[in-house]
Amino acid sequence: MTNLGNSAFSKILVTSALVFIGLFAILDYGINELFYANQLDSKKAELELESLLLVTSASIENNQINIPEELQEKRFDDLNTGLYGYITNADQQLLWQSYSSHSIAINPQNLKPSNTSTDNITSFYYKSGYFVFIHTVTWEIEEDKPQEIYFVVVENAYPTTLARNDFRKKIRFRLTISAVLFFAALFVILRWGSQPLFKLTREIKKIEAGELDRTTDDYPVELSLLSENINHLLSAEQSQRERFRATLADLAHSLKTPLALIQNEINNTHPEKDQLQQQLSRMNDIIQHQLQRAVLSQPSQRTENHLLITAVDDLSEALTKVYREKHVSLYKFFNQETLFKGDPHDLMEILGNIFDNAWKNCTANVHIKAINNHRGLTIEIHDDGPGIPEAQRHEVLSRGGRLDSQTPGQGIGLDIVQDIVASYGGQLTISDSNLGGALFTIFLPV
Amino acid sequence: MKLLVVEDEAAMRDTLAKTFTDQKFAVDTAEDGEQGLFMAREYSYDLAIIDLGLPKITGIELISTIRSLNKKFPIMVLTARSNWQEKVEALKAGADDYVVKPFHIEEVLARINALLRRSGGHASSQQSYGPLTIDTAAKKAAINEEVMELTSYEYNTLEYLIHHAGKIISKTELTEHLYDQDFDLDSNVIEVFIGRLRKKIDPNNTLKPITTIRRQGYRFDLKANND
Repeated sequence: MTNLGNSAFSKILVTSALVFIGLFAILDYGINELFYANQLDSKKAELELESLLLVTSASIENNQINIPEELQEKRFDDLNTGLYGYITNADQQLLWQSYSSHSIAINPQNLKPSNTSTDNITSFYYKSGYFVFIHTVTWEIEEDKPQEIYFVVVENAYPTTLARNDFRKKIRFRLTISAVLFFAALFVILRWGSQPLFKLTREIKKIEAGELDRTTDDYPVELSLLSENINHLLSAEQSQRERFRATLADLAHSLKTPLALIQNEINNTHPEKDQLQQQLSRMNDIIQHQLQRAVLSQPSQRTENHLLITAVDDLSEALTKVYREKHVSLYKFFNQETLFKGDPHDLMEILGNIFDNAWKNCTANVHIKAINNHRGLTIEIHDDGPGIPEAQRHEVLSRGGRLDSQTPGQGIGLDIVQDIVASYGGQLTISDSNLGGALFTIFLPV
Repeated sequence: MKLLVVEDEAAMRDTLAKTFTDQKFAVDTAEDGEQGLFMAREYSYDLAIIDLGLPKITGIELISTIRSLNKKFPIMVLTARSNWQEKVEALKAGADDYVVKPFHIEEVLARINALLRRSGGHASSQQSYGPLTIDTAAKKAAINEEVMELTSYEYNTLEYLIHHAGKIISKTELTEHLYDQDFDLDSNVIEVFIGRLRKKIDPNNTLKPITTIRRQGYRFDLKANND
């Protein structure tokens, strides 16, 4: 969920929200239109009835249309009722108007629709804020000459508009509430439905952090295949890494035995043995160095946590055996739970080479201190040997530099340590130990 | 002192065997783990040199099996794979030291001598017993600070007896540790070596460094001066 633009969850949520908004807008429009059509229909029926009442109450006396003083519809007889009646003839002469129509200044001519067809007996329309119903009759008023008479009923549309607006507000409010509820339900359903995906993401992060070595297997059918494939990929990568290491170790083996043979042959017979020895030694250093670089773990392989104490104990036990006569006393000043995050082979190489130097050079004591904090892991290896003069420290750490020139052929040691530590973004430093000898400090950042 | 060399590369095996023979060691060789195991089980050795990359049975398996057979002789590992994981595994399996290929033969010899000295319970390569001094590194012995002229067999007989000072060593054991496996064993030769050694170390028969225990063997009886 860190990148919203690229999140499937957000996309589904946003598109669903848009679909919902569109759907509810159409619904709102449709309901309002239906309501309006219904209003018009009932208004038409109502005004038709009013016009019929007017027609039936009209009579012809003395060549004139006569309307009784009191009409059945009382609203014609009061002011401000909103209902008005008119009778006109084909010449647009006003033959009669209701009492109510005196309260407004309407010219019934203006209310006539522009396209009124004379063929229709009745017509109903809305104009300028009024509903208008016209009932057309053909009566013989004078000299038996038939003429068209228009009974016009007009009603103020304002109350109807108010009712419609009120209805629109109510329906919009209800639809909005429904949309919000739907959207919330959708969010919850989506969230619940994508739980396994979030879980898988969390597990992959844990694998990266070295807290898990494979994904769990309680995923729904749709994701179990993906989870299984991730696990297959992880174990394939692991075995490939092991194969790679084994192949390189074999390569070292096959190169070094002939090298050892040549070295020992030259020892006794060759006139230029020193020069050849030097070249052989260089070849060995190159093989050793390049092989070490090749088997150096990749950052992606440095995800697992390993107890520091395991490597320290294994190595100190081995070295105590090799340097048995020295009776070295080892003191460990660190928490048993101290963890190293990375490839265990790398830790073994780092500590192996430095421990070997410590055991070789110490008088009787080696102290190991370690501390793990938010910055990383710091390991200190102290010995009570002669120490390393400041001027020689750089040389000792450079390629081919050896602490003990009396022990030829024992690998290149410290520059390998330097390479591994650097590949972790860390640092190897040499200083003076308070035991009187050398202090090697390894810092490996988180 | 008798060594067992288990190494699959013929040229390396021969070089090692020749070097050790030149240094007055008796040497048996094996070319794979299986043969190495057979020889370690059947014969008696003072030290074994085992290459880790062996066919049939790996070096580490071979070392574990030898230790499980309760064989206590020191084991020196030769390895081309200089990674610490493997060194630790070999030492855990029962090896006592390791040398990484390519090595200088002097280094191998120095370490073998150190291991032999250690297994004999001595801190230094030089030990003195009254007027007799032996230097296991230089393979020399002196009486009253005068270096004795000893053949390699005589020296080896003396070194083996001193190495097991105070213990009775049978003629068979001595024969086994002085000669290669192929050598035609004749235990009477041992009597000849012992006789010559007595004459050279103790011409006046006052010191009596080697006692004959009837039907059992010989025992070196001098007390060490400083060990």
